[in-house]
Amino acid sequence: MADVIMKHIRKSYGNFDAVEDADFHIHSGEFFTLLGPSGCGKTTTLRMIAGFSFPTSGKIFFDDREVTTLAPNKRDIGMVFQNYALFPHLTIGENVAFGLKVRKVDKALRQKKVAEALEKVHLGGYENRKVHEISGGQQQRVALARALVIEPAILLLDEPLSNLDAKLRDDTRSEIKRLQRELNITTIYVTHDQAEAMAVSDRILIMKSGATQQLGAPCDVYYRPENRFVAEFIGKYTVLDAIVESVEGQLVTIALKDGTRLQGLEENRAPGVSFEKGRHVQVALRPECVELPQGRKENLIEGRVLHCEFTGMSANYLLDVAGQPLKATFVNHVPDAGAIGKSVTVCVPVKRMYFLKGDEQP
Amino acid sequence: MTVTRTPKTASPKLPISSRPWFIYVALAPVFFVLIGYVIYPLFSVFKDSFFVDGQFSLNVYRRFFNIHSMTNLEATWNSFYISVLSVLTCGVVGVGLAFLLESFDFPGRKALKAFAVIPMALPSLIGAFSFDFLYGESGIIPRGLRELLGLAKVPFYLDGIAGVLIVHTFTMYTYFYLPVSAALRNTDTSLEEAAMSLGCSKTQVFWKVRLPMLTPSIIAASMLVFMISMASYTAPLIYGVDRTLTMQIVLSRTNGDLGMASCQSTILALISVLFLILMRAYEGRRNYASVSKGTAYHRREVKHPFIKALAVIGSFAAVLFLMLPILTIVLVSFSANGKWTTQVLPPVYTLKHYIDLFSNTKILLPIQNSLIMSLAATVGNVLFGVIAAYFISRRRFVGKGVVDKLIMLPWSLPGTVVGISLIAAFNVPTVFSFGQVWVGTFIILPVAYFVRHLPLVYRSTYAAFAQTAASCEEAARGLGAGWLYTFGKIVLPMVAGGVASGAILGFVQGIGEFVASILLYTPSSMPISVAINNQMYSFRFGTACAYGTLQIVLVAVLLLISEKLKGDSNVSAV
Repeated sequence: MADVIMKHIRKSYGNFDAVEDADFHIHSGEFFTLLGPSGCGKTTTLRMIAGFSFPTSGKIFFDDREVTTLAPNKRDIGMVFQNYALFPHLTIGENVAFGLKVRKVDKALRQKKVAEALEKVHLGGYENRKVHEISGGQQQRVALARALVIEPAILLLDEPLSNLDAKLRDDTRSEIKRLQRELNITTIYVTHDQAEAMAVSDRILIMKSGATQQLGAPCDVYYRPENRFVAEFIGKYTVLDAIVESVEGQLVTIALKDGTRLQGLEENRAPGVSFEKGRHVQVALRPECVELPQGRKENLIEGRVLHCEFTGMSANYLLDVAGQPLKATFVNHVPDAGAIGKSVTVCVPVKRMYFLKGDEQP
Repeated sequence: MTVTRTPKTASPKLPISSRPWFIYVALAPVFFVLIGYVIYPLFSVFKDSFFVDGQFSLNVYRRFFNIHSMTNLEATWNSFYISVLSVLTCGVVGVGLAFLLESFDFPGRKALKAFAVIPMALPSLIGAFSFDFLYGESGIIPRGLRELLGLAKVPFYLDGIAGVLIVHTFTMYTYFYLPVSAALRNTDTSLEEAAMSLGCSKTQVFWKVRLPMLTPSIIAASMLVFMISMASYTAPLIYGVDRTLTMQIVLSRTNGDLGMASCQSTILALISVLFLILMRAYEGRRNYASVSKGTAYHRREVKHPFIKALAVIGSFAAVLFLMLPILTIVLVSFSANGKWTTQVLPPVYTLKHYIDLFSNTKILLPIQNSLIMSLAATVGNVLFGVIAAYFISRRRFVGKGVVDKLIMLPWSLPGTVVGISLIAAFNVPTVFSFGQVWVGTFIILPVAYFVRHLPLVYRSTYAAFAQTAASCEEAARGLGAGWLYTFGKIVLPMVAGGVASGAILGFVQGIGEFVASILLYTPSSMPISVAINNQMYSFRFGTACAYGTLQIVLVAVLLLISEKLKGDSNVSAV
């Protein structure tokens, strides 16, 4: 168990910054996720923590020990790779024992620990199998056992589920979370799948093009995204341009492009949003915040149905509102076959309105 | 908060293996070897072609391009057009055979397929001699036909450029056959089905889908065969085609005209390097075939009884034709020396040559020499090949492309050029020969083998590295293993198969090497191939063929082992 402290980490290749100014503190025992689309710098960040590459500038600490340029074998980490990286010429048992052997743990203890570690990932008795004799999901768990058996201070997971099929992914995900809780080990998890990140993490760091977008607990990044990227990436928000009309107490009135007036609460805004009259803002709405009016008269939006699909649990609509797309999801609703092209009225409850900074030139 | 930037001077804190200079220090031995035994010798040849008695002069080049004495220009032209024709004949035979064996199912197919790669096990010199025994003016087949038909003269025989072409075709069609049949096997039939669903007829599918997908392998094979034909020395030697560049180089050297030999070598080297560059430029586009694994290709079964019968006879004839050279060598190896004169087949047989092979120290010496020299060269190849392949496949560094190209350079150089360049470099003491004159000593042969076969071992090792996940190495480091421990326990075991298979290929080449050896050997360092050549010219056919049989057996066994080690991994045929 250790804290991981990243101090203004930058990693550049030539003129290209793969990671710019990553600056955060991971607490001991925390499940911390680096989330972002491919090429966002999350894996680069993880590899710097592991010691497989070194920052161009900045410092990394494990507790109060500086490890910025320390070789990976001296960091006391356990890492699980995307392709598992099991040693093909060794048996399952030898793979798991590798780290113990390097640490010169004597043979009897080594065998006991390997057996325990395999037991923990439900692969007891697999010691003598070859790597290619077991399935992808099992390989995944061997990789996990191999990383955990050395009782590392920090567990690093690089997209560990991306090579598994959907069903196995869910099982393995809860398995990882269970082990992490049980061992109370500082865990850093890299993924591009926001649902996966939400499900397992204590906190999530969202990255894009090397830059930190937001750091927060899953509910923070979901309910209170700090910018449009996070809103769209995490909550599948759609965004409508608007201009501030007035502020009365808690209540903010804005006008959409087509003149539609909507009201929201002042507190539901991203940092940096100001509600001076005439300011451009953006109204960000998650699909499930858009409802059918059912008799309500305030905060109605008129839109034209561009597309709709029925998933069973819900009906997903794509609406055109004053030239901008708006997604809406209605639970327990069967769409009308002839809805496409027709105009509909939807309602957004006042407390569901969320404001982002507007583009100053619309 | 202020941004703390690590100053440049902080870099010495990085682990040694991650410091920027580490890679250059680690590769220093490779640089030394490349500069000393590839660059410097080539430079020496280049220099020698411009300096006559220490004076700069273009005289040699004037003689080369002299339109009044066309020997050299004619030799260049001959080399060129023999190569072009070889590409055509090899292409027709190789591609045709690949289509035949991969598209149709007929009785005899399996046998033919198994024997189609036989020519690869035939070392070039003994292969060329076997053709002379079989189809030469006093060859078994022409004489046999004369006896059979009661003719006064032999009805046909192979000689001159036609002979060279037949030998080239026989020994080199596999360069087309192997990649094309691999490409055909890996063809995703769903592509053809897609084309048919879009309205293509069977013939259109062939011309618009199948053939274009094969073009990369066919073009790569063409350039390869062209290069090897340009470098060919044994076939012209045996069929007496003096006017080729390689023959002229050896003649100039034999006549003591090192300036001319250097000039000819320079020109041949330039042509070869040009082709290497063309090939590497083309290589990136090489494989469409294995992009996706579709449904397996189905061979069409031949059903017509007449065609079936024809196929059986054809396959049998083809297998016989493929086996004849080896059978002939084996047969002649049992024949008593000096007794085979005008008969169709050798009249007197003996086991003496095989007994001599292992008891007569004079006969044994070349075998020992070849084994020792090839082994020494192979050990060097593995050592330097592994270092270079590891760093080039795993690290990013400035100059990587240059090192890669330099290592591959000798692959394109004809053995004759390598021989001449080593003579030019080491007929005086140099740093690289540790202050010794190497010409006329034992060591220069293993050095030549080392230079010639380094690319082979490097390529195969590189492919092995490329196929293993770099993350395994990182995983080991992450688990606490140091760099050396990781290299020994994880990296090396994972690539061992590929390295061993490459090493065996290099060793096999050393056992069969003739072209550079003939320029560099001394009586005490004579290798098997040179011994075969000398025995042949002294009409001791039996002894020569006993050597040849030994060579063939060694090569075949080693190639089989190498195939086994390689497993089903697709190391490109170099």
